Amino acid sequence: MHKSIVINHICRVEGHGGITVNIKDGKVTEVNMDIFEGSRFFEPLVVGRAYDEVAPILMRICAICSAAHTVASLMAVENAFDITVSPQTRLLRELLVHGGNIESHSLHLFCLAVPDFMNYPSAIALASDHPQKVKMGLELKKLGNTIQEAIGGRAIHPVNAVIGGFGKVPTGGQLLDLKEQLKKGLEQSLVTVDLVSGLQVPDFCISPNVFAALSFNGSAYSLFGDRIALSTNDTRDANRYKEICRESVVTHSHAKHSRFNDKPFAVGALARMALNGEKLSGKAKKAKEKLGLSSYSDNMLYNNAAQAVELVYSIERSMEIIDELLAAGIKQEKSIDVRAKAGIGTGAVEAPRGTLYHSYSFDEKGRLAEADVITPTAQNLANIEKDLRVSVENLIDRPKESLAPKLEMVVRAYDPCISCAVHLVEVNFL
Amino acid sequence: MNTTMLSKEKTNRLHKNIIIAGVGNRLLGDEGLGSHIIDSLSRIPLPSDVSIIDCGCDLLSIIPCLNEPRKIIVIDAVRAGGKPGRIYRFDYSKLQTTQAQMQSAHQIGPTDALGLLRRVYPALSKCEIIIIGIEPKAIEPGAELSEEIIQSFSDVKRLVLKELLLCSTDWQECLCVRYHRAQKKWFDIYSIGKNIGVNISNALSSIHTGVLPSYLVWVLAGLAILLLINYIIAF
Repeated sequence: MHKSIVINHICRVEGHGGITVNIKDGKVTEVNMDIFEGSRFFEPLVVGRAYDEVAPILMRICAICSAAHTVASLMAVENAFDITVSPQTRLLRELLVHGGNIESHSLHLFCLAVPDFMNYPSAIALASDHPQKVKMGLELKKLGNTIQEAIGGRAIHPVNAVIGGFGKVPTGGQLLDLKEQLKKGLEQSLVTVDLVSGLQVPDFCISPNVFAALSFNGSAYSLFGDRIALSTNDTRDANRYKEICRESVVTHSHAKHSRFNDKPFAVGALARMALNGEKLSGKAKKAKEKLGLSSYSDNMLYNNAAQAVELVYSIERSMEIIDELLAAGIKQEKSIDVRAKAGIGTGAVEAPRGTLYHSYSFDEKGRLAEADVITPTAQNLANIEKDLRVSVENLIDRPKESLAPKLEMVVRAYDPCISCAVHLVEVNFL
Repeated sequence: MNTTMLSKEKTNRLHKNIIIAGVGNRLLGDEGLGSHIIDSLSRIPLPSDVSIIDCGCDLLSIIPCLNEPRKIIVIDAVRAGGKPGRIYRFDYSKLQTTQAQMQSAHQIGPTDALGLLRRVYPALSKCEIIIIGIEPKAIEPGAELSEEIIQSFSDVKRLVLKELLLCSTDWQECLCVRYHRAQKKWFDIYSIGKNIGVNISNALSSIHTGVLPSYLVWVLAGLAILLLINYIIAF
């Protein structure tokens, strides 16, 4: 008997994507995660551009992750030109990235994932019965946007973060105001943890995972790090990311798939929790224990719970950063002057959905010769297909109609930004 | 001092109850027109009660601006089968009743985002929501807009300003102040224009003597001026 499940459009993920599953004689023969949104070609868009034009263009890859794209891009340019930014700039950038993390996680949890677990077809339907829950999620998203606006100059697509520093440094008063809002946000994030802890997490997609995340030398959990750590105990310097993300073209998708040692791997909040979770402290640590993430999990549906923990972490860390900045005294320092030269640089940041890499090479005039951007979703695609296959095998006796929503649930747990994942350079043989 | 400045900023935001939001991704050609038009609008003087925001692909980014808004104007690329650059104006409430579907590549489509916001923020139920759509030509990777879209921007801006004139208390207050001052004969444009017209008319009437030689002089003088202009143009 042949059975074919085709989900032409996965609702509630960023961008457009689809799933095709073919089953023959009770066995899964093919599982494809299709990317059919127009390929973006965003890397060639910046080739030939001056070094200071790159970040403003590439941050447009994604509205939700624009802070992470901006910071990764600036770090890549600075590494290429041997620029070392001040500790204040590093802290402000970290705060900006946390703003993006708070925005993205709250949007994903309340508008995209929670409706699945509470059996609602959409966030709008959820809002009809539970307006206060959705409102709380949107208030947290607003908090993330407010941080980005205060530090980056705009709620999304920051303009204030520039090469070597910031165009304008926030005042102490602005930071204190942010801290007040963060205190309220912390309470809301703890309510979110309570909400997520009450959700039943199905067990149909459990399979061994290889996790990857940036590793930070310090004793604290971080979204930054100069080394990539894997759950296989392998590590690499961040600028050797290509050894981790061996990209290959697949015929059924516009986006390349990444594999490490021929195995798919996962990045994102659950991967960070698995690799660096023991470094969490404070209320985030308690949230992690409450949500059952103390031990290593091979169920990617727990990525939602990991995001709830990170929501608490990002808010707590943002308050710590503000305290550190205020204790050191805000300096109205100018951004470092750039001396363009030929060079190669890589910037890596833990974006909400996982590790994000920007890598550029510049000519001696500071014009971009080559760019490589590997998004978290592109790294996760092969692992999503692996989890879809396992899920179909576990649910193969279910009617087709009830299987499709489960598969969508798996994809959504990864919080994929399919629009970001698509980057393909067309090659014509003449 | 900083706190005072902040509270001022907050007050400004509270005062801004008209929102213009541009939606679109600039890396996909005409798909980013909503984002580009915000740049264009930011270069012209707008009433003080108006917030403009480039939402990129995320219309929910307007949440920080939502303070009992009276009007939201969303500008986005809309495929409706017209010629590239054609401008559409939709009333959001009518869009819902007619089951109109907007094709969008954004994560939570503009209509879904507005629907969600209306459910969650009751103040939005009284808010007028207008969608200004522009028919795109090419939605494909690229940072440039099509020529047809660029040409449509002046009409889009005109339409936005017309919408603002209808609702902006700031501009309406400006017009009211001007009207009240005019009533008190202080810079009454109508009165000034009328006086200029009457004075010119009076000057011409005084020259109009009704004597034939005077006419002849004027005709010859006019002819000479015309010949002089012709001479200047020729050389």
